[in-house]
Amino acid sequence: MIDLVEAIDEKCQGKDNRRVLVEASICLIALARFDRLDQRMENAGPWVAEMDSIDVEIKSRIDKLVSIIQEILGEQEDETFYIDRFYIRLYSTPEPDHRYRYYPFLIGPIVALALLEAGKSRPDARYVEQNLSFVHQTIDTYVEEISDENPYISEQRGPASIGDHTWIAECLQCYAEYPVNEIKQSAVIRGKVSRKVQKKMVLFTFFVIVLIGATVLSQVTSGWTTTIWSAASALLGATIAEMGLPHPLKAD
Amino acid sequence: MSTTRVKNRFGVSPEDIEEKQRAAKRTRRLIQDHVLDDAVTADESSHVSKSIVRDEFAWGQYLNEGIHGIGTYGTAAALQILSLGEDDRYLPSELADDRDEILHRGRTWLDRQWCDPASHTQQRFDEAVVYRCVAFCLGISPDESGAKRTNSSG
Repeated sequence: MIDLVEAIDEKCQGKDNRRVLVEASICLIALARFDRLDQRMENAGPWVAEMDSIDVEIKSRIDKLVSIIQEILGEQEDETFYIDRFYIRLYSTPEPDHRYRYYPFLIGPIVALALLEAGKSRPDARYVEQNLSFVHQTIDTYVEEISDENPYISEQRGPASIGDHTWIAECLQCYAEYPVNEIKQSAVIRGKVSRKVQKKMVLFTFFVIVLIGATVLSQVTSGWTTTIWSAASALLGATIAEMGLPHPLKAD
Repeated sequence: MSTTRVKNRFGVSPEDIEEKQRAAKRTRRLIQDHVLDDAVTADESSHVSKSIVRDEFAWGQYLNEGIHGIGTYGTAAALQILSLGEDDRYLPSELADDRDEILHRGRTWLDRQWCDPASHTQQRFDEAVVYRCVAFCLGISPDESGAKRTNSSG
């Protein structure tokens, strides 16, 4: 699994984004579920001493996979790909006659599921909240698509069509179980903003902070100067009056 | 009295998310209903499962003998869908019994395919490692099937 994560990281440049998303998501789901299983079993065996190193390793792999997914989602101008699917050819199907078959992976549900699983495994704002618009878009699409009157009709025909439904049902269930309290209001806002816009917002915020800081500083400095000048003037006046000399700043 | 929701400028509030979560659960149940209905009908007719779309074999190849035999992947996918939210008692008891029976038979079948040297899957396993592994990971998760079988046998 770890080798696979590194392989995906190395090869993701120049590859079909849909393929990278599906491969990274599959790995992420597997790691996140293993992680949760691992956490439940942490008191169960003699290998507890190794838990810390396993923990760090899994977390870094999850971070890496989420960043790969997030980068593609952030750069994607056309977001319609979330209803698209990526087909994996079943080369390993035993019957030669069946090797022309493909198994479909619905990109939206599988990516959303992966992010949700990662978020459930290790609560971290980056995993779900920053990609919340994508998750919501996917959920909304399939909730609207599937109703009592209109069962979802997969574009994929044949026995493999149930694969589409598996990913959708898994994604919906994972979303329904996601702890809503962990989705903070600020994160909801952040999730609707693309990474490019986020960068611009950071720069704009920085500029505004610098501007406000400069204004406040100048006001403070100006106030202090006036105060110091007044105090110095009063002290000088008092000293001169004490000495019985005429005040140099006052006319007769 | 209606409460005012605090929304950000994109119109998404925590309450909106809760509504979306309820809708997601409702839609997941609809998918399960379709799969369950299809599986029960197929079982009764002992033939290729009925279609929910125009394609005659659209949902075939699980728990029933189709033109390609029983499908490992189709069976695993159906079990995965039916086992979602098992604690969520939304089904009438009769359908819940059907679902539990289908889950039990499906898991037993997958288990036998995995373990029995005489099974079709075992005989062809070396030729189908990736395909089979994905199917088995979907159909039998370690925290469900093993625990339930242990509990039921114990």
